Amino acid sequence: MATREAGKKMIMLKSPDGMEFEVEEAVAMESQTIRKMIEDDCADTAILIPNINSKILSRVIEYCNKHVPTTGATGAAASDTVAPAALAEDLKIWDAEFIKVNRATRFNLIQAASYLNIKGLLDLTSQTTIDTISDNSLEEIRSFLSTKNDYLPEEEQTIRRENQWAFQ
Amino acid sequence: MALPQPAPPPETPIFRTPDELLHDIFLRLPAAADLARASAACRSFRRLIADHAFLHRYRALHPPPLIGVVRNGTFIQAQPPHPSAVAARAFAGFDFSCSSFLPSTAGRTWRRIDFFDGRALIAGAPVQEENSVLGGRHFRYHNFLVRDLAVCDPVHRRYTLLPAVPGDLKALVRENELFELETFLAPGDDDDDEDPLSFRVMCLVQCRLNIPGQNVFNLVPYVVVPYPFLIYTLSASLLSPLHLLYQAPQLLHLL
Repeated sequence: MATREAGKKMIMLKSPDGMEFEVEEAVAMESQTIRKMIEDDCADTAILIPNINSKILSRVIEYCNKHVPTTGATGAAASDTVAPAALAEDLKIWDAEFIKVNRATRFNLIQAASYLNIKGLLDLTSQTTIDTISDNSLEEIRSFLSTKNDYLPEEEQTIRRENQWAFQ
Repeated sequence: MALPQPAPPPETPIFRTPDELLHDIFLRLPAAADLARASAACRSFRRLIADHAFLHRYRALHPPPLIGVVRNGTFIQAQPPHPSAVAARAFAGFDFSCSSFLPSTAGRTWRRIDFFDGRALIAGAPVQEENSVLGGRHFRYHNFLVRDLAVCDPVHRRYTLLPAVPGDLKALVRENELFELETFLAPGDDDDDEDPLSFRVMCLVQCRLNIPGQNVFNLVPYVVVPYPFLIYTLSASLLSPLHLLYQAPQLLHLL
């Protein structure tokens, strides 16, 4: 704590598997759920985040760290030198790299983003799934979402016939 | 110093189940066609997507596009630059007649009598020649008594047969008083939380009363509604109706 700049309030996030993450309050407040806890004074200096393991929680914090609005001394300096458009472009590239994860991790991230109510992360994690469904064949959708075709051949035929217009 | 306002109880964050998360994702799909394709992936997706409450929410977020108009039995598809022109192209030459999937009975034919909000109202009656020996009014009256009514979703090839008009309502209409008979589709409910998949079938009968002592018939305004406020849903329906189609002249009924 001593190494941190004065004036930046730190908060401790704990995962159920016992890991502790010290983050700036502003970063933690990217989560509307945590923000509400802090604003309602329901939060101590340490907040236990149930259901989200340390591996996922650390990735969530990584996302929030990157996306927290740049304020304060270092932030002001950054936005002086970098144009906002370039900054947004940089974030986009960063997001695209961030989301290159396997299906289980992506699903856990969606769940965490939903629980912690982090809109940007929820949009990002959901959008990859949406793009897959919109742009790919049934077989690709199944493989992306790791789901198996459990229809009987005649059932699948019926469903395809009923929704023929959607496959054109 | 102002008195502290009592804070509303904090909303408990909910840890959502995988099904709920999939629902959340499916809700974001831009077009109903994506939803239909996702439902073809596996049974669990189909179960989630066919869920009534889910479709209700989806339709509220994504109103179905108008892909065209059915007029005098002909489908006129939306043309560029209309935003639905691409979606409409998939329906070029589409058979909206429903005859391919309605049950067929010898001696009876199905005829479309209305088209509204993606659904067709079809009447089935024994084949007989209109205005032959029986005369127009007799034909209409006979038709009113014996016809079957079906509401179809031509895109998803589904239909529901409507129950017969109850006898006591039929008894209100006498053959010699029957003047006009109109049967048409209407939205399901006027409430805000209306079920977007429900619909009503209305039947308006105009009768003229023969007043004793007078030589003229007095026209009574539309009075009898043999299908009063019945609300139906295509129970097996997956995604209907996705596309809004009007038979333009029929809109007059709702004015």
